[in-house]
Amino acid sequence: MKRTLIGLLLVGGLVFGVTAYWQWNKPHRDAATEEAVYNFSDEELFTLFSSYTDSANALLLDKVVAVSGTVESVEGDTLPLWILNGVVAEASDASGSISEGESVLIKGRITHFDDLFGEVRLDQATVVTKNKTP
Amino acid sequence: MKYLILGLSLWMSHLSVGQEKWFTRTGQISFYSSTPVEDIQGISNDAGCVLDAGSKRIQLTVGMKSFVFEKALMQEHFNENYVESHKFPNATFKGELPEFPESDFENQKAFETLVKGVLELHGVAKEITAKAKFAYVDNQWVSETTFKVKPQDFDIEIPAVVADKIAENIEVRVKVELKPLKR
Repeated sequence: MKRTLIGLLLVGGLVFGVTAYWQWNKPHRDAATEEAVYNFSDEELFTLFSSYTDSANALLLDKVVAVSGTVESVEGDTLPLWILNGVVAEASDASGSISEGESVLIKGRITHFDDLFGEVRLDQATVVTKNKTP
Repeated sequence: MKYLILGLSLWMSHLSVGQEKWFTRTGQISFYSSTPVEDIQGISNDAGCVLDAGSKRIQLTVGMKSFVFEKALMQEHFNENYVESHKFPNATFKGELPEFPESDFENQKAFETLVKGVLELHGVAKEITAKAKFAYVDNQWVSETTFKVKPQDFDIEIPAVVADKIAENIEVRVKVELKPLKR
């Protein structure tokens, strides 16, 4: 009986230790490896957040979404910022190349609606498809 | 007449410079909590900022979900347990810079000035005052400031079990490089 109890305590302690270690060292989320849960055009996503901010926050904050639109400009120093119509996405790394005027489908994680500029902000963004506009 | 037109043009150009706005979408905001038990740091490079030289006002907004921590677990606790970013997704600051120059930016020397305004975080608005450094470098205004906040001032509850891991005063650092806003 005593042996069983010690065994159970040891196993319990080991499980707790492994779980705590995994929790403490679990990797950061990588939106680039996740599937988009919703698809929007840049205008649709902007309208949702600008007109129904609370509902859009409750439904979409922290979600990975795919967004289509035309790139109005590219900013940023270390990581590129892709500026679409009412949507601004920070690239997950510096390798994805998008140029002004290209029509694109990107995906990324929604971090917030920037009410100062009136833009939906995404991070960890990657290019799904892109085509040059005529 | 020629001098009147010249004078008017100069006056108009002065007015347009005086109303110039400056902005960034990639302002850096970081905070540090340092205790003997643990140091915690969160950094966001996604802060939006607009400075209006005409009205001498400055505004910042940052998404709480854009803060990145060394450990994913820290980031999770920050968002879910402390700042409740699902309820309060943004922190904002609206302040005044009474000593900010209205024009002639390229000839300005670096200066330090007081920024006074309202910081809204976790749904609580609180007036803060901080010293900010400004320098005009390569057609940009570079500004840095550091100030301290107490979590309880913003109704952020720290459970007793982790109280020794989180500093009473959290140091907040802000750095923005502001470009001219073309309208």
